[in-house]
Amino acid sequence: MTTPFEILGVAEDADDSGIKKAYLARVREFPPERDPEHFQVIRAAYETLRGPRDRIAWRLFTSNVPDPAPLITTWLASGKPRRLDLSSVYRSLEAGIKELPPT
Amino acid sequence: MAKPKTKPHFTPPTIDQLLVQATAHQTAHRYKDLVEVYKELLKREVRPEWQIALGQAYGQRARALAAKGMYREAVAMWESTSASEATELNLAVVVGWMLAAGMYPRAATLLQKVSILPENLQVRLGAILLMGSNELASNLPEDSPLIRHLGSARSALEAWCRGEDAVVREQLRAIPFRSPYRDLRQLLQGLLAADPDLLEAIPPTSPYVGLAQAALAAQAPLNDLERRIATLRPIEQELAATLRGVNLGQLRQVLEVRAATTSAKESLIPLFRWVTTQPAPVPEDQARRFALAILPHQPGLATPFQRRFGSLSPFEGARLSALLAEQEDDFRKAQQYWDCAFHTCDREEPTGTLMAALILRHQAKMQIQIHGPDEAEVTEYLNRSLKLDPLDRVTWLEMIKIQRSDSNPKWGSSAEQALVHLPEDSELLLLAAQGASERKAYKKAIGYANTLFRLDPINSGARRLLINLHLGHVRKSLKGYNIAVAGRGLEAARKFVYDDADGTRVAVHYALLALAQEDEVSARKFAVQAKVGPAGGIGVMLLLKVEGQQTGIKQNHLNSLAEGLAESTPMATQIVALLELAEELLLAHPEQIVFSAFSKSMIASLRAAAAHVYTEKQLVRLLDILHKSHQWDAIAEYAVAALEHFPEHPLFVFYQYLGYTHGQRNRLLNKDRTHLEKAREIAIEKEDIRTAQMIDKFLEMFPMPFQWRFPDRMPSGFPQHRGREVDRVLGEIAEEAGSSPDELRGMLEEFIEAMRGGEEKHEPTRRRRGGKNK
Repeated sequence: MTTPFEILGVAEDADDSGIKKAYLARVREFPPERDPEHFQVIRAAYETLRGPRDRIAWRLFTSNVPDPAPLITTWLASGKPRRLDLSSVYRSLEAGIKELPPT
Repeated sequence: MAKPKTKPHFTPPTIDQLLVQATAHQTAHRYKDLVEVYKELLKREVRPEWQIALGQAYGQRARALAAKGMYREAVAMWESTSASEATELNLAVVVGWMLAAGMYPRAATLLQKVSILPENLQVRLGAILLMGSNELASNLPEDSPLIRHLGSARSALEAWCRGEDAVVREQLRAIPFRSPYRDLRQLLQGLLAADPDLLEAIPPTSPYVGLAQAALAAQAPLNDLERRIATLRPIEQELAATLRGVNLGQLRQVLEVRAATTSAKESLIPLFRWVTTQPAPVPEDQARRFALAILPHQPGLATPFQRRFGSLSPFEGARLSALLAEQEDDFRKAQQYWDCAFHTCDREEPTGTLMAALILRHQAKMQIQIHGPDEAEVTEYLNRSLKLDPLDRVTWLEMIKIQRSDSNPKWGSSAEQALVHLPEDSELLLLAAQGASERKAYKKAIGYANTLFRLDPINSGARRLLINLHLGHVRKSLKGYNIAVAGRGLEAARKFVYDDADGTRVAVHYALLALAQEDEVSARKFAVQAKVGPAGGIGVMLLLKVEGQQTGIKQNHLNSLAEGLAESTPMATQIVALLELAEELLLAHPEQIVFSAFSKSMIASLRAAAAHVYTEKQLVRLLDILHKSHQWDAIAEYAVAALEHFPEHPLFVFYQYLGYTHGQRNRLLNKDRTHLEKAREIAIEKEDIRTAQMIDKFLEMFPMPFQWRFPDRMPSGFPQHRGREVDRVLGEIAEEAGSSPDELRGMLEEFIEAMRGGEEKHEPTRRRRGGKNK
């Protein structure tokens, strides 16, 4: 369910040069001689999105259910990381001490 | 009256019996019973060894309880032993139990008796001190590291909770590497630097490991988050969610949705609900796009979708319906929805026209799925698409390919139309040149080929195409007896000559030009010059005969020029080159012209070269050419030679019998047929469908109702009837003669056998090459 955009690691509104740049970066990461299977996947994704015509065709005719992961990641990333309060830390420590073997 | 019950007499066990019981309990690790036995023994008699054994039994019992996590009970058991008996247990171990049981004041008291504490116990004591256990602190010596570093450790932790990172770093500097607070130091450093390596390095026996795991889970990517969260205790799950900045309940829901999402359509419903009910953090357009992608799989969700994101545009509605119809393999319905999408597509948008063109292109593909490659319908869609998007070279090429495979003469003009929009496209230029050449519009074709060669000067295909086009123009000019134009054409072709093969073709045309001018001496001179090519004289013969036929030069003139050019024994390389030349000529000329050009003398030359070893591909090519030229004896000869190198090769077996029988199935023996059927099976096994079909076609050429066969050669004057005809004739004769057809058939067989007399039996495997044994 991973989309070609996700495989190349580009935004859905990326242009030709952005897609080519991302493709070359991925190929450097997974060169065909070292990881041929992964390379094939990357190559196929690039061919799917190569030109504006290809990208529109993909949006129009692809009926694959997209992977929810990016959406969930966006949702998770939207959370503002917080610090713990002391009482929470102590509760964890206390639980840890109780559960640990005594020696 | 009932007899009063007598109380059972109880005899206490003897000391010996108790000692046996003690041994049994000890072996079976029943320490509780063991304690009771020793208590009983000590009641009977106080022996020092039993006192020691009782102390040991208490110790073992206490350890067994601690092993079950019953620390409080273990401590109680330990306390019930006397001081002398307690020596069995290490006091540090008991301190550990007390800490685990939360009995901090008593642990503090006992600590005073312990001289050396294990390191992990020190770390644990540090964590307890950090939590503010004053009893422990007051019982520890002030100069111990546990007390000396406590202030810095507590300040660092409190500062981290407040978000004062500089203070944390400063306080951590006061905690040495070997301090009982070293794990806290590492935890805080890992949190500050978001460094998973530091967090992973906290040992599993540390009380800080739960915090470290929560921090690691908070940093984990989505694909690992679920696994990490699942391994945490509830308290740490909450901490991980807090560190990540999300609510634990929502996080659990997300992970459940993700885990439940599979390719099954039903699993998309919770996903859709999650997407459509999420508040602000999920961007609206992303959520909409995502939910929209679910709709073709779950059309029932269209209503909640529209409630959440507003109504679907007519275009989107039609597109989604078309995708849904496609998923259900209802292509006709899909086609209707795509029509609707095409008409409702917003052309005002920058990509609207392109989308409309792509829809038409998609419909063309679907049209092929519905009706097969129905050329008219498909090209209609493609043509409409190209009007909207004329720069789509892939569609141009697709349309030309369909037209060409359908023998539609428009393919050339389609290539020319495409060039209007894509004037420098090599593939289109090549197609346009080929199309014009096919129409004999050589000037136009040369123009395209020149452009192609200018764009790609090292393209050998373009160079050869140019030579061929110029030579084609020369032949056309010769036919019209336009000698001057032909001469200019030859000069132009000569400029592109690169190797001997090119030189041969140009020289052959010079010979034709001379022949057209009735200058036979010059013609022969050029023909001899042309022999430098890879196919030698035999190739020149073929070229003269094939190309000469298009010039209007009389056949007898061509034949007289060609004869005598072939080598008596051509080299293997020349034969191979000849085969390649024949294939090249077949691309430009009708089969009939090329195959009829293989004269007897050429075949003789080919047969003379039969001893040479060829590759499988070359032999196949040669046999195919001989087959098409109906050179039966040569076919049998080459097939037998080929089978020596490639035994049981199905195609060569087929050609062997095709040659022997001169292409007539009625000459096959039963065993020949069996051999051919076996070859067919091998061909099918090897997925050589072409050979299998050729054998099929050959075997079923003439249906044979009889089990017996016709002789290889019928006696003179006796017609070679087909099976059905023989049946009919036998039926008619039988009526007149008053005999049965079966009787007559027997007589006929005897007659044929008698006619054949002592003729050698038909044994294909023993035949000499070319079936000369017949």
